[in-house]
Amino acid sequence: MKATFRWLKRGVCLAVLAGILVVWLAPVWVLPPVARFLDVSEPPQPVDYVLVLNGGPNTRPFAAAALVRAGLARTILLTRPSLALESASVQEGVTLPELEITKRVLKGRDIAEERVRILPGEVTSTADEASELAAFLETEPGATAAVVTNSFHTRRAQMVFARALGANAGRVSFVGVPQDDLDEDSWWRSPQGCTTYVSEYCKLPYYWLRY
Amino acid sequence: MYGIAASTTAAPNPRRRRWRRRLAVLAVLLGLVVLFHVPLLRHLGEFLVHDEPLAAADALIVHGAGDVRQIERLYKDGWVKKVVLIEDSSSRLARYNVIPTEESTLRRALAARSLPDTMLTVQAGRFKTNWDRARYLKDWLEQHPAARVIVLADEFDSREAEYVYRSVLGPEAGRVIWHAVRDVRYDPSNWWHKRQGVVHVTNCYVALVHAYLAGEPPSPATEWDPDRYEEALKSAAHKGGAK
Repeated sequence: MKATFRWLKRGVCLAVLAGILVVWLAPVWVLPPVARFLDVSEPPQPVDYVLVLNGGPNTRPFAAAALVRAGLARTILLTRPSLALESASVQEGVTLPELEITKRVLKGRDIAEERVRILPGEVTSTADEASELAAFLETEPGATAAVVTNSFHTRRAQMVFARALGANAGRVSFVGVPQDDLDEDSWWRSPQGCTTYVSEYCKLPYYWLRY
Repeated sequence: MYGIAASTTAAPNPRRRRWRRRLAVLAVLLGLVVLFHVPLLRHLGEFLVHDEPLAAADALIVHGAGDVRQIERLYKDGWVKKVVLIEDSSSRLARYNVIPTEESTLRRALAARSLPDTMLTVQAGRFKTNWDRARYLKDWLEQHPAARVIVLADEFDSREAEYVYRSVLGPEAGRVIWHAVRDVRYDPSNWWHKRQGVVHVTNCYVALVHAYLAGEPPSPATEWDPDRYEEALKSAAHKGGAK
């Protein structure tokens, strides 16, 4: 028993050391799958609505506009982020809030105003956005929606939306947009890649436990 | 008789005793962490802040229009007479004219505060990272051999920024005074109360460790192209319709 325990301990230590060594010596084998695990996006399918999640005005509204312009969706849904989450310059009115930027992107991509709807209420997290969509779909029986977000965010978003939507989860699909300057095959080489994936892996268990 | 008594009350298994000791130490450590979590977390936040005592300088280096309140204070208090804006004009939102440039936003904000427009010099270009901005500042300092500058930085980003600038500037880093700007939403004394604060501090630590270990990252990967994405969607939709 004593000997077994000692060997088990040594085995665990050895496995951990081997893991660190493999990551250090050959990150290209180990780290890309770590990034790909977070991406559960699906190829875009025709839907009634596209919900643009907050947090990526550089990419997400552009993808939503493309879906509408390609005839894959009719209407874009937006949510209003709480002002308390915005930076000091936004709160002081020096720079634009995210909702305004998103609306401007859509206008710039020739999306007519009547094709954009802002869901009521303020949101502070992905979970709030999921609740907003769940409430909206209750009023639109049979409607389908695509959630547009960055690829690395789709696993967490899918988890949170599945819980909020319950029986309606099947009516929602997830479209992943690549993040600028972020490559799944070499993300550890850039600080942006490291912060994105470390942060996402920290948030995943938190959201799993909390929502 | 004594021998029998000794054998029945034998000392506990040394391995078990060792584990008990380890668990006790762990419990004490955990207790201390719980008891002193406020000072511990505050120190964790404060470690990221690199702030230096202010001194009169020839120019104030800023990276965005968001710093206008600090610009106003430093100008009116007489610390600087000139502002140099290093603007990253490579972002998609700027290129597609979705948002006004930092320059126009800052000029408007300066005018609203009755600050002279002539105080502002702008250098726009591809300044995506602190490494890019530090290289520009190095050139600027070479062109202004006697000048000293104040650099504004978000307080939690300031240690990483200072490390990067010091790596690029070398001995010229002595001509830079760092001024950390507080975030209105949280600071080192309360960042863990807000989810955004926790994410921000975590990200700053990751970026700092990355800068220490890896130095300057290679050029970023190819940028996502929304026009090509749309074309691909249209083509896929067309094929789907043809079927």
